[in-house]
This record gives sequence, C-alpha cells and structure tokens, in this order.
Amino acid sequence: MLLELDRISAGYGRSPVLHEVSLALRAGEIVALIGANGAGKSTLLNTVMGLVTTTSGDIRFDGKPITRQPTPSIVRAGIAQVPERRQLFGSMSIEENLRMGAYTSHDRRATTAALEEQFVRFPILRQRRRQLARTLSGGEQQMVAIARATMSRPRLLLLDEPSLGLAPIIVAQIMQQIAALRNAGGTVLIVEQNAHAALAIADRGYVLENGRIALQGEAGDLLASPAVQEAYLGGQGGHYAIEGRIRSKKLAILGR
Amino acid sequence: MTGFLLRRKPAIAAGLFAVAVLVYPFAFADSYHLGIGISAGAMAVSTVGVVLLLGLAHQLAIGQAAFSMVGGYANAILCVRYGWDPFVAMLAGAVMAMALAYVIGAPILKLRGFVLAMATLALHLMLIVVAVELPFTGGPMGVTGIPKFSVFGFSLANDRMFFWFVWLLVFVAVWIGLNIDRSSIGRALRAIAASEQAAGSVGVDSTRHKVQMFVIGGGMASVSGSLLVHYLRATDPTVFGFGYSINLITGTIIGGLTSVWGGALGAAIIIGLRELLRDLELPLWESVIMGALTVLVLIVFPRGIAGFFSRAYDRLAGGGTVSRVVVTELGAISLPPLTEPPPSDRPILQVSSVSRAFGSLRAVSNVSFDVQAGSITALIGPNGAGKTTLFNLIGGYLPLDEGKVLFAGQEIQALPPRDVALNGIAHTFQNLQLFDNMTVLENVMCGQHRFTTQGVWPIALGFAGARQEQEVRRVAQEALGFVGLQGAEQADPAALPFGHQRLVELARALALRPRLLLMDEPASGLNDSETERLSELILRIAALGITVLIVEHDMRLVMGLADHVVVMDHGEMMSEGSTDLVRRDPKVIAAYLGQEISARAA
Repeated sequence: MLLELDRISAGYGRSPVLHEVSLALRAGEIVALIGANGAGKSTLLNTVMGLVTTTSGDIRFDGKPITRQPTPSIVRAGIAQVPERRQLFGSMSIEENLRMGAYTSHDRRATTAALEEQFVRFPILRQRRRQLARTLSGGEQQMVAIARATMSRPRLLLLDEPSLGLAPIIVAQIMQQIAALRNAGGTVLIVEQNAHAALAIADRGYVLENGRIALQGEAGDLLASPAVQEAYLGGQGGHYAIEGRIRSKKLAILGR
Repeated sequence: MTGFLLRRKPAIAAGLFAVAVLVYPFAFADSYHLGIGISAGAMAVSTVGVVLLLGLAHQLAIGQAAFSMVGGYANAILCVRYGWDPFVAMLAGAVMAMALAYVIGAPILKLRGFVLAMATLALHLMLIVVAVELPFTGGPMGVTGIPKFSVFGFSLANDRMFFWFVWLLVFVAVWIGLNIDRSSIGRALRAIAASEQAAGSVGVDSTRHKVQMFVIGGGMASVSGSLLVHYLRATDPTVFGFGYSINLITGTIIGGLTSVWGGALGAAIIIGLRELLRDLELPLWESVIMGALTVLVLIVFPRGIAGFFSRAYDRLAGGGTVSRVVVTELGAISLPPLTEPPPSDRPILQVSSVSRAFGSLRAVSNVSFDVQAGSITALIGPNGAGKTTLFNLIGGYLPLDEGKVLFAGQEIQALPPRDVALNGIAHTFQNLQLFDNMTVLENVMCGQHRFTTQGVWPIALGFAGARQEQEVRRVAQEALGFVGLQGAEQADPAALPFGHQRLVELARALALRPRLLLMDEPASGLNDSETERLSELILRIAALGITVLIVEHDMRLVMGLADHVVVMDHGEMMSEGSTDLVRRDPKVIAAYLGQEISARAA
C-alpha cells in the first residue's frame, strides 16, 4: 500500500469532521473520493497533508507513519496536493508558478528537466510560459496547478475538485490527462463533485457521508450501484436524467 | 442562562468600565496618578475613531494626531487670546477638525493601504510645519497659560473632577462607537474591509462611509487634543508629534482593533505602562522595554487584549461557533414587492455592441443580446470566452470601451457597482466574495443595505430606532431559510463547505430584492443532488418575478432551466436562441459542448 489511513478522526478545533476513516491506495491506481458538500472530502486531503489536526488513528505513506508530521516533511516524503480552486500565484508567470512547485529541490538541472516534462505533457503551457497565471482560462489554470504539483515528481498526487468551473470539453481533457498520469505510473487520490467524471477514470472509489466511509469498491461497481446513482450520479436514469427532471420542475413551477 | 450572559456582555463591559473610572481617583488620589489617568482618558477618546476607520473598515488612516492638533491649538488660541469658555472652545475645535476631515476626506480616502497611511501622515506633518511657521500659533514655543478646564464657567480645576469629566467623554465616545458598530453602517464598514467589490455589489457607498468615519474620528481626536492641552496648560508643536500618533495606534492595536472598548483599554494600558517604566528610571531602556512588551502582547493576544477577554467570556458563557450546518428544506419567502413590477413584455436588460479589451486581448468584442423580463437566460461558452468579463461590465466593476447596457430602458454602463445594485441588479460571484469577518446572518443582512435609510448622525447619537434593524434581520433570516440554510445564522461563513458558502452568497443577493440576478457559475463545486436542488431554487427565484442571467458550465442545468441561451467564444457572440437550437448548432458543439451532450438532445 502506498497510502494507508487507519481509523483516522480529524477536524478543526473541537468539532470533528472525520470519524474513524480508513482508506488505502495502491501504487499506480486512481482512487476517487466522492460525497456531498460538507461530507469531509477536502478535510481528508488536508489531513493527509498535515494541515488539519488528527485526533486519533494513523496515516502511513509507503509503510512509514506520517501522522501529525509538519506539511513540508510530508511534501518531501513525496505527496503533492492540488488545492481546491487551484490557488495559483496569479501575478507570476506560468514558468515561475511551475518552478515554485520544485521549491524544495535544490537540484537546478533536475528542476529544468521536470519543467521540460511538464511542457511535453501540456504543450499549451510551453507556448504561454511567460504569461501571467491570472490571465489564463480556467482549464489552463487547472493544467498549471497539476503541472506545478507534479514538478517535485511526487509519488502520490492529491487532487481537490479539478473539474471545478470548467467547460464540459475541458473537463473531459483534464480527466484524460489525469488518467495519463496514472498510465505513466503515478498514483492519484481525486476528490470530485463530478462523481460521473471521476469514477469514469478511477480504478476504485470511496463514498464519504457525514465524515464516515459509507461505501467503497471498484469504480465500475460504484458507477453501477443504485445507492451511488441515487445520491451522486443524478438518480434514476443516470447523469443526464437531471436535465429532464429540471424541465418538468420548471413546467410545474413556472408553467413553461 | 447562556443567552442571557451573552446578551448582557455590553452591559457588563460598561459596568466594569464605570466601576474602574469611579474608583480610580480614590485609589490613586495624588495628582501624579490622576494626571496619568487624565492623559490616558484624553487618548482613549481618540482611539474610538481609530477603531472605526482602521479596525472596522481596515483603512490605514493613521494621522489622527493632525486632528488632535487642530483641537489643541484651537483651544489654546481661543481660550488664551479671546477668553473663550474651554468647553465651548472644545466644541468649536471639534467642528473645525470635522470640517477639515470632511473637505479632505473624499480625495484622501480614495487612496488605499500604505499610500493612505503616507497621505495621512503627510497631512499631520503639514500641520506641524504650519504650527511652527504661523504667527498666531506661537511658533516653536507654542502657547502657554492655557486655563484649567471649565464648562460654562463651572470650573473643573479639581483634578479628580477633571478626571471624571474626561472619562465621561470617553464613555460618550465609546457609546457613539458602539452605536455605529452595531448599526447598518458598522456592517458596511466591515464589508468594505472584507471586500470592497462585494460591498459595492450590495450597494454600499464605501467612500461615503469612510468619509463619515474620518469626520467622526476627526472630531473625537480634536476633543482629545483639547482635553490634553487643558491638562498640560500649554501646547507646542512637539505635544502632537509623530510619537503621539504612534502611541495612539499602538495603544489601539494592543487594546484590540476590532472592538470599540479595546481602544479605550489600550490607551489606558499604554499610558500606564509608559509611566510605570518611567518610574524604573531607566531612560535608555524605556523605549526598548515598551517595544518588546508591545510585540509580546501582540503575539500572545493577536486580537488585542479586549479581543482576548471578549472571546474568553463568550466561551465561558457557553457561546461559540457553529461547527456543522445541515442544509434544510427550501423555505418560503415573502420578499416585499418592489416598487415597480418588471414589465414582462419588454427586455429588462439590453446589452448593445459592448466591447472591452485588455491590452491587445479583445476580451469582449461587439456583443449584443437582450434578456427578457422574467426569463431565465443562460450565457455559456468555453473558459476564457469573456463571460465573466461581460458580467463585470454589466455590474459596473469594469468600464467598457464601447457600447451600451440598458436596464429597464435606462443606460447603466457608466454607473459604479453600488449604483447598479441600487437599481436592483444583484450578483453572485464565480470566486465567492463573502464577508469573512461577519457571521452568515450579518452577511445576508448586508444584502439589504440599500433599504437601510438611517443616517450616520441619528445612528451615532442613538436616535435611530431598532425597528429597521429588526426588519433587516427578519428578511435576512427568511432569505437564509429560502435557500435552505436555516440554523446557519451564527456560523462563520469561511468554515462552511464551498457549496454552502454559495448559498449564503445567493441569500445575500436575494436580500437586495433584485429585479435582475446575475449568477456566475453557481453550480460549480456542487454534486448532482445539490445541483438539482440549486436548479429548483433558481426556478423558485424566477417564480418570485426575478429575472435570472446565469453563467454555468453544467449543461444539464443550463439546458433544463434556460428559456434563452447566449453562446460566446473568444469574446464574440457565437450563437443565440432556444436550448434546442443552440445544442444542435455545429459551431457550439465543436467549440464547447462536445458530441456527448449534443447527442442527448435527440
């Protein structure tokens, strides 16, 4: 197991958010974490990164305990996070943003090589390397965020809502790029509201409800599970059935 | 019990304060200690102004001593040269300082951050030079022979009486400060501190409120200066030097910038501490120890000493933050009807040949479309197509290069955000702009700013009735219930999950009772069931007669809700029409939708 959470409870101040959560990732797989707003998904990622206080339980990375370690040493151990809403350095260029991703490395040649790797993966970023991050479109910003996080060649990548605010076509592209990361040997834990898109590229998934793991399994099984469909995939009829239901509600409420 | 103790907090603070003020002259009856108390009180009067402008509104106006100087010199000259009654001279000095603050307020408070700090210090420096150079200010020697304080001939020559008088004025200043802090203007000031853009979106006139606080703070600083010169019996340009400004700001920060009481407490602490150190007779070390203690206090109590005690009290009294918020059923709402009902046969919003470039990038280029009154209109297009820019142009956040925007037939393209809001256009932002220094309920109460008609003077002097605030609170609670956040009133918005924060912002926008609601990606960060719930909410908003213009990437929501869809790409209009028309448009499929979504149209 590359990452193991063993009965983790964690939260802010005196209010616990996660209750005895156990979760594991094997090297080379994509695991999706889905659940409603407030279920504790982002808190779980922040707990792994050491940004939230763990009250009980153990976190192991590659067999070694990392519970309650300071964030920089967790990053050095090989875990990188792409935070919710990207959080780029807006007034820095793309290249500067990417170089910040290798901030902990003092090997300049390795940094340049890592930069080159990102430009091969995301050719559009090479074209725009001098452009300020805040002038990029949402999809490009998400690419920069992922590229920045992978600059340090992490062994595990934590993605928080990569599809947030992206156009449908761009969501598909970003998800393909995440799948490509896994195919190149990377390991990814992805938190998504867009459960449909995340489970489509994931190997396995967990469903978090009120800070507890409610369901887990192969991604295909979860996609097919009536309980998951009902709660997270648009209910009966699947992802696109929502549109029809909205239309009938509109007829009922607005009469048109 | 808990509620009782929490409600009584201001009364308990005032009681402790009154007891301390009454007892002090008996405990320290000698003139030296009374003198310390008088200087502390004089400074405490002006800290209230610092709290209002720096603490609540986060405006780095730090040259308050300039106004103390106006008051001090006005008193010195009027009393010594013209034999005025000191109390009348004090009021005259306050009026002069307030007039000065009013005249220079608007231009100077347009500045922000360190530039504002520099400008206010420059004003102070200018007055020092004026005091040195002018013939009637006594030059570097200043004015001497200032009489002891008296009120209409009733002498306060007794130090104990003067001490009580000074602290009575502190009480009055704090009371004025508390009246403002708890009012709609207090909320507006906090809103300005958190996000001036969002404050504008709910109709807050930030320059006006900043100038009001500058004027009130200037008056208080002037009174403070008057009291000080009557105590010292003399004044010269060094009395109100930079050291005075720095002590004032430091004292306020130590006491607690976010609370009106904090300033008064801080003034007492800093003056007391300085005298204590003087007693040690280590002139060399005085400043060093003072600085070190200040830093220490700020590290241990980042919200100041008053902030620390206030929180500790809340915790002991059983108050605290709301940790988990459960979304409730969508509630009913009865927003009072707007004065003019929207005409349903005409467009409520007309965007006409609007263009805006950033350098060589044409972000919005010759875009024209109409939004029919009562409709749900969607604006879609790839990331970077210019949708958010267009929203910002409509909302007045950005000036447009060319074109017109008409709202209910009136041109609004030249209006600032606040006036756009006052016309009845509300906004929710793509990157949430909640006021993170207020509770959820207060955030929503800010949405009704345009209905709060009470002026600053009635509020400051306690004449403003409570009824309007009660109505604002009731509507805010109703708006929270409408979006399904009943029970979240006292929560800290930053502690809520992203999706719930969106609902708070929506409630705040609805509290404005808008005729047109602009929503920028409301479904981003929501899962499927939450998205479905949001769409029901939007339908219920439309059913209230509010026109909705929405930017969104979730095509299920757009195609399910919209009466009319406008498609943008690369800053230009690409397509426009009904949902069925747009989703079959090959250009739209290629640039935006992709094949899968289009295929669902069949």
